[in-house]
This record gives sequence, C-alpha cells and structure tokens, in this order.
Amino acid sequence: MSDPLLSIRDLAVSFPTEEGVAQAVEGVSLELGAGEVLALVGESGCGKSVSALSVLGLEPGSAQVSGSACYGSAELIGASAEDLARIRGAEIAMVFQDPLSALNPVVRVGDQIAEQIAAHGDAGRSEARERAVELLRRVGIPQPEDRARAYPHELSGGMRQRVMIAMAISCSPRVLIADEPTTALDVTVQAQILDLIRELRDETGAGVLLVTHDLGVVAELADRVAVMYAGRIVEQGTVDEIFEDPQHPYTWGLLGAIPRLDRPRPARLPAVAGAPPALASKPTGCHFRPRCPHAFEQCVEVPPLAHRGGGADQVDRCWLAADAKRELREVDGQFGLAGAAEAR
Amino acid sequence: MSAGAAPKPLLELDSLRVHFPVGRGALRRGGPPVRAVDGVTLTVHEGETVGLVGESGCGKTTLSRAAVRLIEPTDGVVRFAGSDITHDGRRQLAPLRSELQIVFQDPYGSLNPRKRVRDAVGLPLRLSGMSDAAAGKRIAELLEAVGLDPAYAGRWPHELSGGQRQRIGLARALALDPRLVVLDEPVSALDVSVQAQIVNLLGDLKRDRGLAYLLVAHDLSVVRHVSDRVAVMYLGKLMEVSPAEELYARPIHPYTAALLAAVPLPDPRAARGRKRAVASGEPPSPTAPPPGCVFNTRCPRATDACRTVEPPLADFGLGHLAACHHPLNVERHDATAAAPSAANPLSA
Repeated sequence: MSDPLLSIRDLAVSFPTEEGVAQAVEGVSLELGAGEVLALVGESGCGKSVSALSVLGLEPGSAQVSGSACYGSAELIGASAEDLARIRGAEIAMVFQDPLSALNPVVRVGDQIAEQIAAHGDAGRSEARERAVELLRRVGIPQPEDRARAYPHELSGGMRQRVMIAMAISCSPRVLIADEPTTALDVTVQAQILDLIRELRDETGAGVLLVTHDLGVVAELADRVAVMYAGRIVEQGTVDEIFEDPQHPYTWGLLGAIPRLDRPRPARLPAVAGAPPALASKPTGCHFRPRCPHAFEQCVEVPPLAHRGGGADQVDRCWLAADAKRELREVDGQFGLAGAAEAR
Repeated sequence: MSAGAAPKPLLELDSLRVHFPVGRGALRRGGPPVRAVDGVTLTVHEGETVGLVGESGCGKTTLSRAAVRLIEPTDGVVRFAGSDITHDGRRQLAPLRSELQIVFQDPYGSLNPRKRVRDAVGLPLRLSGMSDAAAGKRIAELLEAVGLDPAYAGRWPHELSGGQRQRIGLARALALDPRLVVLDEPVSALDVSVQAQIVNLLGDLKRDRGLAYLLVAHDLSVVRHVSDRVAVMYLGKLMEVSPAEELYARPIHPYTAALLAAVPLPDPRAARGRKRAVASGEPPSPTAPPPGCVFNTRCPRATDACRTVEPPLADFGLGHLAACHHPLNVERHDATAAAPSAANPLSA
C-alpha cells in the first residue's frame, strides 16, 4: 500500500467498571489506504465500534484511550476539540447504524446537510441548500427537492440512511467510517445501500473503514478484513484470504456458524461453544482459549499478531502450526470448529 | 414433516385479517386503517416448522400475535387443534395457553429483571397448580433440556448473556409441554456464534418433543436452515408458500427471487461475480396498498394485469403456492394448469 490515509498504532481503550477495568480494545493497529474498504468484523463487545469511534474522539467520556491514530501527519488521539472538529465531517466522516438517533429530529434533512456544508466551507446559505439537494439526488432519493424539506421521522429507514450518507459525503471526506451502516435495514434496502457505498468509494477514492458483524456484508464490500475478538485483532488479511484460507480458529468458528443459502443445509451448524468473556475478566493468553477446542499448553501465552500461514500479507494470533490448521479447520467439507464442546 | 400418515393440521389461519385504525387526533378518525395482515390463509401441521419471512412492516409479527390470540383478528378464523378460537375470551383461552406458546425476540425485554430464573420458568408451573417440590424438579429438567446447568435456577436475568436468556425464554415456553411454539425472531438479537447454538437447540427440541414451530424471521438463511415449509409475506399478504428447499431452489414469485438475490453471500468471489436483480424502491404504505398485486410497484415483471387484478395464491404442484400473474421458474403448462388452491382461496 502507498501512504495510508489513516494509520492506527497500538490503540488501547479501557473503561473503569464496578468489576474492574474493562479492556475494550488492546493494541489494535490498522492502516487504511485510499479507495479501499477495510472491514473490522466481530461480535458485540469485541471492540470494533469503540476502536472506530476513538479515532474521532467519539469514545464514551469515561474511556481511557492510548496509542496513536494518524490522519496524514495529524495525530488524532489526544487532539484538541477544535482540531478534531475541523477534521470530523470534512476529512473523516461517519455513518452510524441508527440514522434516527444520529439525525436531528427537529431540523429538515436538507437544512442539516446544508449546515454541515456551510460549517466546513465557504458556501453561502442558498448555495449550500442547492448542494444539499444535489447530494440527496446523488444518493438516490427520489424527488430530492421535496424530500429536502422533510423531517427525519417522515422518511423510511432506508431513506434516512441515504440522508446520513449524503451528509457524510457532503464535504468530500477522504475517509468514511461506517459503523454497521446496513444492520437496521431490510435485506432489499441493504443491497441498495451497499451498492451506493461501493459506487461512492469508486467515484471519490475515499477509504472506508467498515464496522460490521455481518460476514455477508464483509464479503460484498470489503477489500481487506480484520477479525476482532475480545478487544484484539485475531486475524487480518485480504477478503479472499480470510474467507478462503482462514488461519484463526475464531474465524473458522464464525464462518461455520452462519447458515448459508449457497450450500446444502447441514443437520447441525458447527456452533462455537460458550460466549465471549466479560471485558473486565478476560482469560490470560489467547482470549479465545476457553472456547477453542484446539487450545493447548502454549495458548496461555499471548500469541503476537504475525504471519504464520496463508497469504503473503495475512497475519494471525494463533500458536497452531500452519499445516495443523489446514486439517483442523475442515468440518464436513467446510470451515468450522470441530468438536466444539457445544452446550446442550 | 415426517413421512407416513398425513400430518394433522394444528394451527389453521383462514383468510385472517388484522387491521389497525390510525388516527389523526385523539379520536382516531379519518385515516384508512393499516392493513397489517390482509387475508392470510396458512396452516402449521403437527411437528412441522413453518418459517414466515418478510421485511419489516410486512405484517409477520402481527400475524404471529394474532395466531396465539394476543391480538384480536379483524376478520377470518384462527383454529387450533380443530377448534375455532378466533373469538375466545381470556377464560376460554386459558387451557389453550399450555399448548400454544410464544418466545419473543428480545431476550432482555422478555424476562422480568426482578425475578430469578426459577421464578420465570416456574410461573407457568405454579399457575397450573404444581406443588413446589414437583416444580423444582421440573425446572431443573427444563434447564437441562435447553442446555443450561440446573444451578442457573438461582440466577438473576442480569447475570445471564443474551444466548442464556433466550434459553430461559425457551425453557419457560416448554414448561407446560406445548404442541406449538411461535418463535418471533428468536435469534436476531444474538451474535452469530451464539445464534448457531440456539438454532441447533431449536432443532433438538423439535425432534425430542415433537414440537411444531411457527418461526417468524427476517433472516432467510436461518429460516431455510430450520424450516420444513416457508411462507413469504409482503404488505400483509402471502406471496408464496412452499416446502423450504423447493422455495430456495425454485422461487416462483419475483418478490421471493428479489429477497434471495439481496442476501449478501459470505463468499467474496461469488459476490463479485453475482449479477443481482435487486428490487428497487421500498414497500408502499400498508394504509394504502396498491391495487392489483401489492408487489407491482417494485416488480420488474409487472404488467397492466398486475396493476388491476390481484393474483390468487395458486398451486404450482408439490405444495408450492404463489400469487403471481408472471411466475418465474415455471413451465408454461404448469402455469396454465395451476388452479386456485382450494385450501387457499383468492385472498381479495
């Protein structure tokens, strides 16, 4: 990759809780290039959203953030509120899961977009309004002149998500952070929004950091993938590497656990036993160890993220030998966690 | 559904309608009603799992509530084990409640935070007059059946994960040995690794106890995995009803095809090569459904006939029903031979 747009190094985020300090994110490093979609994928509580929010200083108030996130030469972690406000929206924009709570309910959607344009540029009111209507047209909203005068509650979920995307791209940001952008949408509308994000990426060359739990969405949209578990990246690689040559048992478990329309249906899904650990009391060593049927003595030590097998740029956190992995990950001809001591 | 003797119908919905008044102002006058469920005929047989899929607002949740009589239908008939329960009152429904149970989507909202697991699971047992000692034993059995250690009886809901709560919801539904359990989005609030555990558990319970399920869900992959038959709902009406594998291999209704095409496949190579016929636009308002076929505003095959005449749910053979003037994946002679199904009369 040529110079990355956004470069995150050793990001760590923790929260004080009654049970002790919750390590939500531990040592996450990522690089996002222009025109690329990097997916952060994992289950709830794995730290994927907090990682993305911390980059923009949007983490919850009680969070302790350390490490570095550079946008060009600007350090974002610990940056002043003014510096962050200049970058947020203009250089790095966000699309949230729930547009109804992200949009202002008492301001017409066209005005909300125009406000953002005016705040970050030198456009006058009427010019900003015209640009807002253009943007609504661009994201596929029919009758954009009329819809610009609508309040958020008057629009459907899909239309609201289009409005939020219009707002996000209004200042031509170079980085778009999309946090579960289609999770609240129905499947036919989701397909439309995924197409839209892909088109905008091609058109603007922006880098997209996509936060999602949905491996289908990852396969549709991502170029590279980082799989997170209990605050750590456990595996990272290109989208083809992750889906076709996964190295970490947690990735196998995730791939095996989803019922698939494109395969014959098995009698049982190879489920991952147990549940992710509480963030304040994670197991030492590999955090996935208690749920992993292939864990052995060495797993009490933390495996560093390193190239151990798979594609040239693929890295993982698993001590198993590469050829052992190739055998262990096959369950009934598919990837999965075999012999998982499934609760029954 | 097992082979052999013809399975008996357990839950029968006949031309069911549920309309909600919508009001401008406190008197709720003026607006046309929301036609949440608008003439649905569907049967769940003993031991059968019927999946009911559709997008939000299609009426699937309302249908499931009306099926267990948590909502009074506006019109049509609900029959359970042969008896008409459409207009039964609370007292008449009471004995039925043990046979007909429901598990809700939100494992956080559906358990009382101030009741221990033993009280949540034990309440139906106490109400049925079981002694404390017998109930304690039964609670332990139920917890084991849903894959939890009986020691969980003393826990509070806040001590449990989402997957464990959903197991408690299932244990409570199973307490009085029901014959049919309505599952309303039972796994959609769960993470995938936990979702797979619950999906497997549903299969085990069905096999061990001969349960029938009406599974309401938006996730087409989960529905295919669990269901014997699948019904596809759009804007209050059934578009297609079919044996599960048949529906996914050979969708007849363009709406079903569009839904299937929109599901993102967890296979990047296939995703790149796939040409998707994605339905454009969004569903119209259920207060003003379009005339003719309700899908005509989004359908790539729609013609004038679709905009004026509502297609009946017709039988295309092998129990595969669809309501479409321009069916997909059907030979010409099939289409002409298809007669309006006797069990599923014209829903208009």
